[in-house]
Amino acid sequence: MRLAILSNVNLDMLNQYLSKEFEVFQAQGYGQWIQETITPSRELSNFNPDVFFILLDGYSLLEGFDARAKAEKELLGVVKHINNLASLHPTSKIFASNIDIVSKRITEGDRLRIENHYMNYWEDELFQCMQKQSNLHLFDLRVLIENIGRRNFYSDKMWYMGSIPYSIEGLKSLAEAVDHKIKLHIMTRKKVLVLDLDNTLWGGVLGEDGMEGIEIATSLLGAAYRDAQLRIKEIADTGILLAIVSKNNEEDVYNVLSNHPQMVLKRDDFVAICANWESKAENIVSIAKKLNLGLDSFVFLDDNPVERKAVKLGLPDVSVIEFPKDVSKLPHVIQEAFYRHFYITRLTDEDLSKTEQYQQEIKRQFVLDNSISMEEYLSSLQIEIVLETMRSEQLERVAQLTQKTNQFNLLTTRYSKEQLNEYNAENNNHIFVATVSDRYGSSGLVFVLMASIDGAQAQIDNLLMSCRVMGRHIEDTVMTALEKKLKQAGIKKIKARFIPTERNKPAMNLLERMDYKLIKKNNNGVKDYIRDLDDECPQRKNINTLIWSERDR
Amino acid sequence: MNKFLEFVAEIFEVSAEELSGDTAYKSIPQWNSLMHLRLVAEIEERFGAEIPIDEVPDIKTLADFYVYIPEANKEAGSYKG
Repeated sequence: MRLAILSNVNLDMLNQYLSKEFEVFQAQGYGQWIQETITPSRELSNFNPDVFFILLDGYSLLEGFDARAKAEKELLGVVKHINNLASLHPTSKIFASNIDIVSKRITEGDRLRIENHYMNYWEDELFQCMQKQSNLHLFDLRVLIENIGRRNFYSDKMWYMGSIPYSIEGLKSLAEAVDHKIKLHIMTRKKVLVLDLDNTLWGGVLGEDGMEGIEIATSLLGAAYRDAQLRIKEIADTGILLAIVSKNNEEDVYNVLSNHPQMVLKRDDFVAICANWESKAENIVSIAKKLNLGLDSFVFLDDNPVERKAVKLGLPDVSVIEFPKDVSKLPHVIQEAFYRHFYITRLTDEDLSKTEQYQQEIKRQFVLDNSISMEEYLSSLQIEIVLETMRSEQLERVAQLTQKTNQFNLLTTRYSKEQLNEYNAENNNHIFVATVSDRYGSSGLVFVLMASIDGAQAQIDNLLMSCRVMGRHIEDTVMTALEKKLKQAGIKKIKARFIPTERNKPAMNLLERMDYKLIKKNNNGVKDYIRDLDDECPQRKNINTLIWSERDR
Repeated sequence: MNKFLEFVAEIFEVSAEELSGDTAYKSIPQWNSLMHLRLVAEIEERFGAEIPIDEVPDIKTLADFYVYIPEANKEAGSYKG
C-alpha cells in the first residue's frame, strides 16, 4: 500500500509513524502540496500512491484572511485544488479532511465566532466536490479532534519549535485514524445482521414477562435497548439485511413486532424471522440458503454467551459480536460493529433497495413452493432484461459487483472503481451490463460481462452475475444477445477461461452449457475455452425477454 | 538513567545498550532534527519535565536532556505511564 500525505503544515512526524505500516511518500517540504495538485512532481508521479490523505490545518489555512469574502474565496480555491488532484489521479483513492479552526483571537464575549461558519462552509464545498469525484472521500478530522479535545490535540510548543501544530498525542491518534481508514477501505462488507430478541433487542424474557413486561422505553434502562434498536435500524438503512433468530413463540414475537408502541424495529425490517426452538446455527444456515448468501456474510448478536459460543463453534465463518456485560454500552457496541463489519463510504441505489429486493425474493420462493414446474414458474415471473454498454453512473455498482460476487463468477477478477475506469478507457475493451426485472419488482443491475477485442477475436475478461437472479436462465438470453452483437461487429471467435475458487461452483459448467469448446485443462483446474460464433448452441434456454437499451440499438 | 535510556531507545528503535548519556545529536542516524523535536515532546509528556523552548537548541546529548527530568522521576519506575 503506497500512501501520500499532503498538508499545509509539517506532518513529517506523522509520515514517520505511518511508515511502519505503509510505504509513505516523502514530500519535498510541506508547503508544496498545492503545487502537487496543479502539476504533480515527477517524484509523486513515479511513486504513484494508492491512497492520498489531504490533511489541512484550518488555522494556518486562513491565517491573515480577515474579510469573510476573501476567506471564502481562499477556501473555495483550495477545494478546487483538491478536485484537481482527484482528476489527476483517477486510479487513487483520495481522502480530504474537513477543517478545524481554533479561534485564538482575543475578543469581547458576545462576538460571532466566524470560524464555525468557515468550518461548515468548507465541508459543504467539499461534499459538493465529492458528488463529482467518485474517488474522493471525507476524512473526518474534526470528529477526531472533538473526541480527543483541542487542548490535547494541539500543542503550541510543537508549533513554535517545528511548525507542527499537533501534540505527540494528536499525531499518534491521527496516525491511528489514517491507518484505520485505510483498513476499512480494503475490508469486505458483511451483508446480514442476525439478532436475538430477549435481553438483546429488549430487556427481559418475552415468554415469561409478556409483552407488557419487557423493557423497552424512551427513558432509563429500556432506553438502552431502544437506542440499540435505533442504531440497528440505521445499519439496515445502509443496505444491510436484518434477521431474527430467537427461542420464542412465533406468535408472541409477531405480536410484539406489530403492536409494541416502543419498538423501533418492525416486522418489515426483517428479511427472515426464525422464532422457534431449533438450534441457532441451523436457523442461520437455513436463512443463508434462502437468501443465497455465504455464511461469511453473516454477523450474529446475542446476549447469551452459550449461544454465541455454539454459533462460533458450529459456524466459524459467521462473525460473532462480543456482547457487553453492561447493557448501557450496547448502543455503542452496535455502533462499533457497523465500523467493523458493515462500513461503507457511499451508498448506491442498489444498497438502499436491497432489503426490499430480498423480501421480493422470499415471496418468489413462496410462489416456487406452490407452482408445478420450473418452466412454468419462470414464465410466471415475466422476466425482462435490459442489456447495455455500461454508463458512467453505473460504474460504482459494477465495481461493487466485481468485488462481492463470489458464486456466479467465471474468473473472480476484482476491480475497484478506479481500475474499472482504466479498463473502460481502452478502445478495444467493452463492459456490458444487464438489468433484470420481473412482476415482483426490479432486481437492478445484476449481470456484468467485460470483453476485449483483438481483430476478429474477442476475449471474456470478466463474467459475473448476482446470486439473487441465479437459476432463471438470465445468462442464456444475455450471452446469446451479446454474441449476436459481436458477430455483427465482425467477431468470429470468443476466448474464455474458468478459474475455480472455493465459492464459484455455480459458474463451473457455464461455458459448457453455453457450448464453448474446452481446449485446455490446466493442473490447477483452470480451463480454457473457445467458441466459434458460427456453431449452434442447443443447450441454451432463451426463455426470457431481452431488449437492448436505446443507446446500444 | 537506565529507565530514561530505555525510553529513548524505544523511540529510536535501537537497543538501550547502544545509548549512553554521551550519545549526541546526529551521532546516530535516528537522531535528526525531527527526532529532536519529538524527544522534547515525548520526554515532557512521559516524565512531566518542562524544557523551555529557547533552551532546546542547546541540548546536544542525552545527558543534557536528563537534567530536565524532575528529581522524583529520576528514580526507576516512579514516572507516570
